[in-house]
Amino acid sequence: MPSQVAPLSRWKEQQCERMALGPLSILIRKLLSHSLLSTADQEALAALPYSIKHMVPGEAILREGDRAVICPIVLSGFAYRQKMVPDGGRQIVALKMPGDALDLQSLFLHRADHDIRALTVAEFALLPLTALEKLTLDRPAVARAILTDILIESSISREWLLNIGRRSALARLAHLLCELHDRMNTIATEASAHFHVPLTQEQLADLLGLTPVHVNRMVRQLEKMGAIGRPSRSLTILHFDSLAKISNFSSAYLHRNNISGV
Amino acid sequence: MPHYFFNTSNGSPHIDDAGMDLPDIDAARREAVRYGGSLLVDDPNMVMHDSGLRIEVIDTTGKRCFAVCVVIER
Repeated sequence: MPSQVAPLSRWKEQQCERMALGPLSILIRKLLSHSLLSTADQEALAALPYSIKHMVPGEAILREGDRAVICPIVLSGFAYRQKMVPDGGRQIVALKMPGDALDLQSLFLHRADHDIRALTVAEFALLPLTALEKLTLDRPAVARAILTDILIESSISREWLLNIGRRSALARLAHLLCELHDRMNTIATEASAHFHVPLTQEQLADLLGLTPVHVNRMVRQLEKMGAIGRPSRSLTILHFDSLAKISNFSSAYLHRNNISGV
Repeated sequence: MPHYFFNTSNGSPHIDDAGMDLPDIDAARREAVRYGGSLLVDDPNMVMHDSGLRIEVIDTTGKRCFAVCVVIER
C-alpha cells in the first residue's frame, strides 16, 4: 500500500501525459477538473481537428456581431471578453487562461454579443464548431462536460457582478487576485510559489469598474500589507491568505468538488 | 498627452505615485471628481473628518492645477 495517495489533479495530469493527448490535453485537463470523462471520451476530444493561431496583446479573435465558426482554446497566455458603450468605455467581463475554451456559447448562439481579445501574447487551438457539435451529439459525457464548463463560467460572472456591485475597492481587487490564483493552480503543471498577474492597472480598472488612480491606490495598499509584490511595475501574488482574508474569499463558486459531490 | 497626479488629503491622505495620461485639464477635472466619487462610495465617512475630502491635481512639473473638495456644511 502506498503511504500517500497522489492528489487527484496530479493523477489526471499523469493520465493525460501517458495517453499522449497532444496540444488539446490542456482542454481535457480543464474539463476533468469538473467533469468525469472516460478514456474514449478523452481520446475523442484529443482527436478533434484544430489549427494553431498566435496573437498579440489586444488582437481580436472574435468581434461583437460576428458569426463564429470556430471555438478557440487557450494553449498559452491570457484572453478576455469585453463589452463597450458608444463613448468608448469598456468593461472586461471575463478573463480566460490556458485550458479555457473561449466560445462554447457559439455552439448554440449564432451571433457573438461581445469581443474576445488576447490579453497577452497568446497561442490558441481553433476547433471547428461543426466537429465539436458532432462530438457532443455522439458523446453525452462530453456534452455534459461542456455544459458544466458553461455553467461554471456563469457562476464566475455572478461572482464578478457581486464583486463590482457590492465589495469595497480593496476587497474587489483582492477577490479577483484570489480567483486568478485559484484558477491558475488548477491548470498549473507544477506548483509555483508566486503567481504573476498579467493585467495593467488600466485593464484592472476596466475589469473592476474603478478609476486607474483608485486601482493604483489599492495596489499600493496591498503591497504595503505584503500581500502582493510589484517587480518592475507588474503585479505578483505573494500572500494568498492575506488576500483571502481581506475579500472573505470562498472558492465555492468555482465548483472544485463537482465530481465528488462534496 | 499630459500626465496628472491625484493626491488626496484630509479625510483620506494618499500620494499618487503613478498618475494618469489624460487629453487635457477638463478630462483631469472629470477624472478627479470620478475618483472622489469612487472613494466616497467605499467610505462615506471620509467627509466626516475635519475638512472633508480634498483631491489635489498636480502636473508633471509639480504645479498644482486645481483641487476638488467635498465638505459637509453645517
